[in-house]
Amino acid sequence: MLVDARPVDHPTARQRGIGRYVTGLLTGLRDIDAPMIALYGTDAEAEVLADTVPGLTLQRWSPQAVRDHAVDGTWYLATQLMLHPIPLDPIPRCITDARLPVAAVMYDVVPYRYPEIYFSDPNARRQAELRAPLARTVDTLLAISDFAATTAADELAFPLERIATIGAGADRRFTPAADDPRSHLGRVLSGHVGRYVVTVSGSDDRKNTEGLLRAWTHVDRTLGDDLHLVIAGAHTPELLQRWETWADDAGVVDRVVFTGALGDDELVALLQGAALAVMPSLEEGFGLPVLEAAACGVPTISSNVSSLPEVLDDPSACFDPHDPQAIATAIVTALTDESHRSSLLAAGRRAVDRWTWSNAASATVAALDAMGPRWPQRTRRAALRLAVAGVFGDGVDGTVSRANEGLVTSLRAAGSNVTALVDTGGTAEPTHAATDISTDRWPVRSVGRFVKPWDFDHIIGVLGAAPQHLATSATARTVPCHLWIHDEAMVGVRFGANLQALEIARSVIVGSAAAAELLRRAADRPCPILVVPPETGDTEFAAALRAWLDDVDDLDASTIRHTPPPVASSDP
Amino acid sequence: MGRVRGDQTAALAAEVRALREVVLNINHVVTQTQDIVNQLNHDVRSGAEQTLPLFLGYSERLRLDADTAIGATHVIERQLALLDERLAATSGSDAT
Repeated sequence: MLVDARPVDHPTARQRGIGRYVTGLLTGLRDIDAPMIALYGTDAEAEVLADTVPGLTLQRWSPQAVRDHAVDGTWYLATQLMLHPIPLDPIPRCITDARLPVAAVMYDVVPYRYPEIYFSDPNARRQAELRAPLARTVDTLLAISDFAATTAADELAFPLERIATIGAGADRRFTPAADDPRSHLGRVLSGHVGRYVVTVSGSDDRKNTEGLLRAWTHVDRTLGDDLHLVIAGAHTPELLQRWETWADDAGVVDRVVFTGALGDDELVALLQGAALAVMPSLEEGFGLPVLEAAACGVPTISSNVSSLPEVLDDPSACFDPHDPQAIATAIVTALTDESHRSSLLAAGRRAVDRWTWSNAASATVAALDAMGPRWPQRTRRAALRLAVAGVFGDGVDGTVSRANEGLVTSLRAAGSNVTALVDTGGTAEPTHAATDISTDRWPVRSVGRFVKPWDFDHIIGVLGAAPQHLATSATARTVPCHLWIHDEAMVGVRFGANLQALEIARSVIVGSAAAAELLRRAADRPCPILVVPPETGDTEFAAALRAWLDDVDDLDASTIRHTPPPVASSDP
Repeated sequence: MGRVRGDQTAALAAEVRALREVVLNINHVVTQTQDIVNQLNHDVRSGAEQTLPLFLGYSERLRLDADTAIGATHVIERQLALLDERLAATSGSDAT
């Protein structure tokens, strides 16, 4: 199984449910020894993975990584199908090229069910509309709850029989307190807060925090003046102001605490120290805070809608979230009826035993084994993916652009998959007008955001001496390329600006032995160098380059290869 | 040569319809992008100081529209690859 591990360090998702979910599922897959490779895109993601889930087999995204493992029975597990924005590339092209069956984790389809709330921005709506046909191309969905499964089937027009429920788990940090949790809460709770009911909430209306506040007005003060409702989570200042004003008007502001953003340890301690945890949400994909509270050994109650009843699987632990009086009654009973509290604790323990990351991982493996691919297909070893980045077309450094077009044409004629990454040389010329290369073509500036470096086995960055290669040069400074240095003058005089590209280059191609020697002296970090005389024909050059690319990763960094090999001198 | 089963044909027809929707979506986004570029050009030429907030708003819309259009091409590319595969499977030949 190839698992997309990128969400663990996604700028927004890593702090949210999806980042935490992927970390948990990877932990479970590791713990049950599932055959798995975790694929990452950046060094930062690799560091996060090594820290949070040690012991994983990690590999950087590349067509070769997929090719190495694309055999019948291998699945690709897409973990960010539902993550915005859509160009995050949830199913990279190399997965499609290899015809790997795809299983995608289905967290929820809440935005589709409430478009008037979540799709008021037309762009959000359009991207969601695109996500539905993309979802329908996968072989199976792995839903985190039965509710997520049935709603995804409805909203995305996906066959329910191809959806399996795999559940979720709580992080191991969520355990009953080993010491006094209040000692960790000095920043969060002031001394006058005695017993407290806690809820972990977001700013979304569906979290129903306002419903809970209304319910709190029905909770009798006779339960204790020091009894507080603690609303944990980061909320916008405007929302906090609204809630505080409302609580003030309702006469309960002195019994409500808003914690603001919490650290991981503070959240665990807050749950451990609570008399009761309440989850009044109107809709969730799973309801991880319910499980996390139960894992902390706290009596926990939740609303009886969406996925939430599945978590505790005990009707006596649920209430109608639309009725503040019902919420209040559930809270009071859970605080005062000792036998009910014991029952809630028992339900919590059963949930903690049932919903583990190991169980989610086992359910994942079992579902993939049971379902198999959705359509008849053969996993295959996809061909190399190459890209040539540089100027193309008339009028932009004609010598280099003609050579680039010759190279792309020759490589394609020899059966390679080649993408032209077109540098328009700083002109306003549209990319499509700049070249006769009519298929598989992108502006070179799209590399990074829209065209992922891991789409390609090799990128050949072609630089000339004319001042029209800026975009190519900029790309080569951030993405390791094979630099084809066209003009020998660059090596001695004008290469300074491209030294950064040289420092990360996978290899360099030059036209003479003298240029190779100059480059070797200029670079702090040596890389293999291929010498091909400039008079070499397009076809011969393409053949030499393909042979070089096949070998280069195994070559010593000090290698200088001459093509054709230099003829030994017969002079005495 | 294998025959396409009825349910497969239905699935393909549904995907072709979905593909058409995606293409219409791209047409819409690209047209909107063109409009924004025109407005942007007008506003920038008429003086940057007053129109700077508009400039920022337009550029954000352009970025989101670009995301949507590129996302659409990703979806189409994958759908076409899978349609190729399924058609090849029904005819017994290799997909390209």
